[in-house]
Amino acid sequence: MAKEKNIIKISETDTSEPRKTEGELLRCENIDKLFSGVQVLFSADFSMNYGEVHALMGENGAGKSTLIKIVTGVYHKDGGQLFIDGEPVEVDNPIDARALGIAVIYQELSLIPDLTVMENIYLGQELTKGGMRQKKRMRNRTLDLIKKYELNLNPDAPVEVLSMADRQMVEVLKALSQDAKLVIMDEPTSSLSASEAEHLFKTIEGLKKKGVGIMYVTHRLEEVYRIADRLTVMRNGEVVGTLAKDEINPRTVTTMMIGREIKTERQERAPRNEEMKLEVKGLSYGDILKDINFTAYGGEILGIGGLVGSGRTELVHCIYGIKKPKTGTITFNGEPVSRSVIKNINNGFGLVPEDRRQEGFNPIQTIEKNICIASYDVLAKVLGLVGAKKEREWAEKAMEDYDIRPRDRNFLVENMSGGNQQKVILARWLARKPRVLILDEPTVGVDVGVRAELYRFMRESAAKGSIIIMVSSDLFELVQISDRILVIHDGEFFEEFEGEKATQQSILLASSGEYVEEGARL
Amino acid sequence: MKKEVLKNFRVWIPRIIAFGAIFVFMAIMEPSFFAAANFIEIIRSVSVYGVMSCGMLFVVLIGGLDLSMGSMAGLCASIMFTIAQTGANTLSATLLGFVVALGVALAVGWLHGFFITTLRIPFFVVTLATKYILYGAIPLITSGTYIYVRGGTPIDKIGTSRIFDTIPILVVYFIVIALVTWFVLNKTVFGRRIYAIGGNPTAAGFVGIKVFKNTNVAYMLCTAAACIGGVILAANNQQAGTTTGNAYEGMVLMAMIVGGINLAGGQGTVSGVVFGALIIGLIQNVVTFMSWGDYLKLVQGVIILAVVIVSVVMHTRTVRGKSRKAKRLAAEPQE
Repeated sequence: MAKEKNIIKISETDTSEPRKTEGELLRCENIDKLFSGVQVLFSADFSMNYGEVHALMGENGAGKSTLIKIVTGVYHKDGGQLFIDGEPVEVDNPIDARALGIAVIYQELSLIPDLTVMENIYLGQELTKGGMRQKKRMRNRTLDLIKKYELNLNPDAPVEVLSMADRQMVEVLKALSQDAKLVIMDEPTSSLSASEAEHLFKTIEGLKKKGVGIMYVTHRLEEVYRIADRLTVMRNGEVVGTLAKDEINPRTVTTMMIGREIKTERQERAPRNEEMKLEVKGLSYGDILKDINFTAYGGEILGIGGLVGSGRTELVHCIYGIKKPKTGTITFNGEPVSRSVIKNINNGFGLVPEDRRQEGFNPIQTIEKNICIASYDVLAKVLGLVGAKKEREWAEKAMEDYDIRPRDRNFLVENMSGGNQQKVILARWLARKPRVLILDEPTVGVDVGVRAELYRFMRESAAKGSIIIMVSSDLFELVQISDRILVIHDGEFFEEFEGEKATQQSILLASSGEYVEEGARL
Repeated sequence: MKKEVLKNFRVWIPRIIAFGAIFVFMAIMEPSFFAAANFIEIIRSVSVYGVMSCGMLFVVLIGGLDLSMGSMAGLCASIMFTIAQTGANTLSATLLGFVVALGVALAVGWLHGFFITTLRIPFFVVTLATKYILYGAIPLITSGTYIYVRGGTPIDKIGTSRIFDTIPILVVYFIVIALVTWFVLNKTVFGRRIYAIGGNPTAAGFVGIKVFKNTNVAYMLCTAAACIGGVILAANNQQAGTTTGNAYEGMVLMAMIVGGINLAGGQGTVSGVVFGALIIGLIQNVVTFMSWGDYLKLVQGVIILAVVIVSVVMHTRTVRGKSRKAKRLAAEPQE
């Protein structure tokens, strides 16, 4: 029968064989990886034991994901050796990894919402007899698993009614049903609320007791204290070191993550323009933002730091008018800021959104139309009639001023490079001489050369007296470009830094709720 | 400037070839196809498709579709004819009939928009449902029969007048509506917004475009065009009833595809729509003219499928050509 050929076997009974619960589970030795000649992993070593929660931390681009993808067979390593239970193994593809008992819980969950918990767990590996599904056997098996790992799940509930945390449980259960001994979780709490995360930690502890090894990738220090037995920190493709539970403290970890900080020349900051000010008082949004208070002034670049998911994007969306805050007041030069995006735009606001492909540009339109789309208050003053010549000149001037390539106003934006697409969106606002320009992760996917240009444009705009607010996860950028930095933690601004005094480490510590003396506690 | 003329010309090559092929085919098969009377017949059907396609263009550009156009046309014609007839076919009764019909059309268009945007029901479901509802409403208006108008009445003049005693007046409506559509799409902020919403509705919202409001307006323009199309069709036929405009949305949709309108939204021109309507109208005439009898619909379907395949292939080829050029430009050294 074809079913017999399945590589993934489901344990017939859970008590059949006492599973290994101690000793070394996985060891990676001297793993190298190159992408088209560029080395991204430098002889990385990593090991973990049964029944251990081993956290993996590092900045974006440190090599965490690459290492995981090598362990799970998505990428091929270019050097080094993997060992499972002390035996050298070759993991050439994800199927090999599964057969070896390695499972990954992906962020974008791979469950089918319409199917029940049980059906999802057995999806693609249904127990059958003579071509018929053995529903009862699968259900009993699922119940056994749920009981064994002390989870609170109903096997017959459709996945779509479950919370995000429960869906992750189902993912975990699916992995366990395939006899996974190593479960890799990649930022599992990023889509969970605090109580859901707590629920997940309890499950992780349960799994740990049963001897399952958990590799836990996270950006949040709090979680590492909470659940990790050991922590490995990566930086620029290298493993910096591994800390035992009692060695983990914020200073050590952030130093390991950031390394030696390179101080480069800061740009000259313009004098603060007190006439132009944006004030936010007592702003709250959903469960994410609790009580946000700050004032931004013209002439300065205000950086907003914090972890991904800490509510930075929601905050700027509230200011811009695309999201409605639950409470709080936003005033601009004493006047309350409108809840209508178009009114704010006409009043001199502009937003360079986080995801330029989704929220920024219209891919199937020309550079010209993408630049002009926010300026028809100027370009079509009479009866909504657009002057073709006015439009063309507006676009051509912007393309010239902000050096957009190719210099062809009829070029489709979808065919441009990421950096030039970002320039188009920035030019859309800068051409209007904005009074409040908000940039959300402005340099993601932008090459170094264009990045420097974007910084220059931001600085020039600030020098003309505009308020520039920049949200960024890039600590180097945040410290380098901002005149003042506010760090969000737990729904509030936690600490404020003057640009000169801020260091990447201090920002990172403040993002994790650790007060540092460089800044002023808020 | 020269480059742009050339680029536009490239779009027209397949269109001219398509026309040429049909004419050559007819010249060989049936020379009497070229009789003046037949051309007038062609203009008649092309004009109705053309008027309705212009309305559909707005909806397709924002990434939607209106499957109720044919039923809308029939209902509006029936309303207008009934009111005109009740008022003894005076000019004022006729005008009142048209205004009421247009009002109904705009109301339905607004409802389409409301269901699709505010209630988030797929446009497919909404307009398919209204297609049957509107169709079912026609007999209620006409008491289940057809309403005829005699020669000399205002309605008759709307439908059958001729310019210089030769050119059917319907083509004038078509030209006017096409020009207005072109103007609105290319020269007004509303047109810019329509393209922006179709290309990326989220991004449109981020630059302050009121996506829901503009979507509603697009659906209202579409039903208004259906109303005008239905009225001129019925006036030309001098009768209105359940068959008026029935299933025209299929032909309109075909005209869109042949005209190179991106059904995913955001891309399409009025010239494409005009061309699409011309080709679809021509094909229909050719098939009728060849007196294939029972096979008429079958042959018509096959020819349209062939044309659609050719135009889609042609379109993807020009698009690919463009992206090749794009890659070349992007690869150019940037000093």
